[in-house]
Amino acid sequence: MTAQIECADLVRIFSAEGVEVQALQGLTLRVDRGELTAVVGASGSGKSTLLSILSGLDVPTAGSANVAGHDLLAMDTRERTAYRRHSVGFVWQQTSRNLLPYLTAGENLAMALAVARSPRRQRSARVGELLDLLEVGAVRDRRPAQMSGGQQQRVAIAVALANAPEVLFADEPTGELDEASSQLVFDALRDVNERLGVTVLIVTHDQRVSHQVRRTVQIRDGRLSTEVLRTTRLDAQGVEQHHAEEYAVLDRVGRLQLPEEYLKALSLKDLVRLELEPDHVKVHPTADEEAPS
Amino acid sequence: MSRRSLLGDAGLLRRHYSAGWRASLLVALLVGVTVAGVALAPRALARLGDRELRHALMTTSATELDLAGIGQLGYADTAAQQNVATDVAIRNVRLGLPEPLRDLVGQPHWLARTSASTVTLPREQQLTLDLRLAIDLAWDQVARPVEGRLPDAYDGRGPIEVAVSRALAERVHLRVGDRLPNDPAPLLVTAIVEIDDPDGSYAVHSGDLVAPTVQEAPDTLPTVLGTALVHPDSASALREPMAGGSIVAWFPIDASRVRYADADTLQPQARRLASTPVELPNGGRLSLRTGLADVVERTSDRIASTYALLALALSGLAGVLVAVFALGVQTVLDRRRPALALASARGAGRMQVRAVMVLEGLLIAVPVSALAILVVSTLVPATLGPVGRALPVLTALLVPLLFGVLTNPRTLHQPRRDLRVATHGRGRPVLEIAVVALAALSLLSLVRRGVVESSRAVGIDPLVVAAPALLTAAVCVLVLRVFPWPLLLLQRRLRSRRGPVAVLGAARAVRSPALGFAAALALVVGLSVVTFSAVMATTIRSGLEHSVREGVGADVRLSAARFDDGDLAAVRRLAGVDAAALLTVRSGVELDLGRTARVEVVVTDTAALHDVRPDLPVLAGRGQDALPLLLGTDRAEEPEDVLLDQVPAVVTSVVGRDLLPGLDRRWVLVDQSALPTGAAEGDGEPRELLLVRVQDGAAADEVAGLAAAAVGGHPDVEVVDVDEELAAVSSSPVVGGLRPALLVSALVALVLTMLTVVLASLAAARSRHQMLGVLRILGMSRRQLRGVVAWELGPIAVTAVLVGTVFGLLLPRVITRALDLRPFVGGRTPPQPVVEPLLVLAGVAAFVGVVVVAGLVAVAVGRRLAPAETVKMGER
Repeated sequence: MTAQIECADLVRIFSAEGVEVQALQGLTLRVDRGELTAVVGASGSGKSTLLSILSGLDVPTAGSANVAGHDLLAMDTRERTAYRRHSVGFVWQQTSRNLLPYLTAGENLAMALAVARSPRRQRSARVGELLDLLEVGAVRDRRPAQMSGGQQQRVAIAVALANAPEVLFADEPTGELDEASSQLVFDALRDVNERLGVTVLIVTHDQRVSHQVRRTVQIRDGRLSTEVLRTTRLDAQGVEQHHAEEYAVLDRVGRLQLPEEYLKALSLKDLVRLELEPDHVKVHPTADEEAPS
Repeated sequence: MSRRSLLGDAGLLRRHYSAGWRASLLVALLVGVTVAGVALAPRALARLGDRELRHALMTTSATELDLAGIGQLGYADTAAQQNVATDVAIRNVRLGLPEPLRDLVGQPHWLARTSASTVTLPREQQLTLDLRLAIDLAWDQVARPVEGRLPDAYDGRGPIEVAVSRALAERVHLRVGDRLPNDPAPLLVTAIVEIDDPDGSYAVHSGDLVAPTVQEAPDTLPTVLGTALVHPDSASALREPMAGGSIVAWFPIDASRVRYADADTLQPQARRLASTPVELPNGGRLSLRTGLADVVERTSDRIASTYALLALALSGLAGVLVAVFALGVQTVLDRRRPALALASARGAGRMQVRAVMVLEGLLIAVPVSALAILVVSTLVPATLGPVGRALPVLTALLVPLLFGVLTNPRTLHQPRRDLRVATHGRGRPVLEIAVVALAALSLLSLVRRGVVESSRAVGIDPLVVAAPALLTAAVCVLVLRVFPWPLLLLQRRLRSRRGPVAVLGAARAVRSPALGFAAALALVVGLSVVTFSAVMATTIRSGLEHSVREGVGADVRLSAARFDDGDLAAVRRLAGVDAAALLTVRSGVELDLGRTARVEVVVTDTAALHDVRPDLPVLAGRGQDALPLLLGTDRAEEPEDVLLDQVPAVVTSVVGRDLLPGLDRRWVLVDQSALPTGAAEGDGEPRELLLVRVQDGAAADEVAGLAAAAVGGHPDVEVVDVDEELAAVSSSPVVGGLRPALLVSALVALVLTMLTVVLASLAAARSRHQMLGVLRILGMSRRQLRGVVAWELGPIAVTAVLVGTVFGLLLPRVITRALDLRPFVGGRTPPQPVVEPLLVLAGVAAFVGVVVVAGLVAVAVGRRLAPAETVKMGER
């Protein structure tokens, strides 16, 4: 498989008048072409910053980031514009950021096409095709206020796909929706991923969403901490069995983040003792031991 | 309610622009009104220029103004040839004139006259009559017989029939039927006529036809010089005496058609005309002259001074106007920001984003501006120069330009709003340094250039006009840089106090000012324009008074050949008279200051004169070795020991010639008690001046009336007073129009300031309401919240009042160093700024009132616009 998204040691520092916030602290992530991946993490962990960088709206302070063959740190203005037009599409949590309230669904799509200078006569067909794909063809001539939340987000996905991007980013796309609508929107994203082969990266809080994707990566303190891979196997009786296995991420210099619950269960704090065994490494708490002199 | 989707670019733009159209409409209205104002101002100025030029020409005497000349008639073979050919030649002068001069020059009149020959009068009169015979082709329209009949043509036989004016007839007692011996034939008076001269041009250009002049000299008979009309067809028979006489021609100038826009073309045309003699048929010649060029030049200087002054007063406003436009454009941009951000995120290039906004700017500004210009040019027609035509167009184009400049695609994506603080790009210091450097350069060049004698030579000099705007911008830059320091100090001192309002307000004013550069600029410029206008109005007024007083020589001046002893005492006793002095002016007195010169000697009681004119010294009386005197001269000379009519004298001081009015190029002032009897009597009759100083609060024109009555025994008394002269000067349209113009510029400044404060305050409404929401939750009372809001405008307004007032007071000093106001106010010395504290205070008070009202309006409107924002503190 070829990597569609590849980040290594990504750092993003925001600084303003003496305040410095390190939002990404050496994040490394690889997503293959056609993958559907969820990124989860607590508030302030750096998820949205990662997405801003990947969608070309923000520039990292250090590290490397490559999406659909574009080196995000080396792009000039012209390339960045072309990248936003043709290589990536995105869907945000708030409808107001996805769709212009005074344009109909069709017009919102047409605007994305117009921005990319798509010929006028091809627009109607493309608009119809995408709205039908997302099953919202009926709301073509309605404005966002005249649609349900789920319809709005599916139109937003259609708009994001208008110029046939290779990668689709979605930032909490189901954040403001009820359960049924959430499922519809998620299904739409999965459908797009499967039918069009578009690589999809979803940033989400929603457990239901993260549990439905094959791969979920967790960001903590601006770094990838763990990764859950879900597989489906047939057991001896031929029944589908879902397996989820959680992995910790070891970076290039050997650092890894232990899951929060491990730390709590064994009161791991400050210093731990490592022990190398023939096929694994043991981590011992040192709270009861005498501190080294 | 669905609507058909528009998928084309034009349809999408239509949807985009029609969303939030109210803000665009407001900006369009603002642009329309402004462009109308900018289109109107040069038109009003052009009309003011036209009116001033017409006023100046109309108040100039026809003698000076009319295109008139004297020459010699040719020697023709026949009368018909002679008269017609001459008439055609003279009429052709007008037809051959270039425009616009031809448009002003009326139809010519001309008279051919013989030279004067002494005629023996009937009835033994003690008079000599020097009579000229004149031919006037329009005589039948001019001469109306009151007695007798108009003469028949003289064909070489019989007497020459003549018509004489009633004035001449009465003066030399001529009657119809009188025969006067003459060569080549005797004269027969057939008519006594009244000369119809409705426009007075005959009186001016051929006065001897209307009324005779009388020359009287001692020991000889009085000589009366008169002119009699003969039939035009007599020209043939009289061609010899006519050729030996003269021809007078004049073309009236119609001042009502003159335009200031043509002034520069008119002057050389008029001068060229005067320098080229007109060839008449059969070897005749006519030299024409007119004072038109001089009057136009003098008046144009004055108009140019006015324009320059108004341009100065208004140029500061250009900065505020840009600020107001910028705020209006920002309001529209803020509404478009989400759409632009989305389009940009979807891949709209910077040029695309800018183009969409520039197009919106054009749509907002162009139709309304075109309409405004059309309406103004229809209602107020005027001939404009290229600058006047371009100004409204440039003002209109400022809007799309601002849309392009203020649309910054870089700022559309703000990754972390929580970390957004008021930081400024690298461009700001560069821009600020450029503004300050330009202002310094402009000021330096102004000071180095010094006062330009004729502001017209410079026109509306970009350097002069840009100086106030640049200086104001530089001052604003400095204010915004320096402004946080005292506030920081204040903030530190306030920390120890218990109330949170002042600490919070000061901290916010320093770290996150609600009103930015535009508002600061508007406030400082607004007040400086108000102060500047007040100071300039006072300066002009006082300059005019000063120059009028210089011209009159005191508050009231009476002049006559001689005043009686009692006259001075009578005038001194009048109500309202503070002091009076009698000056005797003797002319042609010899003054030996190394070489001999003839001077006028003013003899007076210098102590009394000092009471009237404290600027003139008291000269010592009798008892000195040498006669102390004051020398008035234009030349750079400082003689000390001189001889005045052989009397040893010493020059105690040298003053300018104009210090006393109406005197020669060189004069001396002596105290009457010091002058030996019989010395410095001069030649000719002396004349006397009575200078009067009126009491404070008394009206000079009333005192003048009383004084004229008090010395009424003298027939030749001439009275002038400063009030009357000032009224005469003020009747000039530019002088009369300047004060309203300055007032208008001050009012416009106030309105623009108010608009800026309202717009800037509205723009800050969202952040204000978010902050107020937080503070309310924290438990602040309404009163405290109002205090916090007051801190938004308070510090910058106080700073603007201080800086704007000082700057407005200093600016006239810079201006009077660069711009000579003398063509405007007259007088000897360039006027210095005069500050009338009450007027300035009134201006400042009005300004403060406007700012407070604007602040209250903005807060009230903002409260209505965003009530929900007070509690919603979410993501946006």
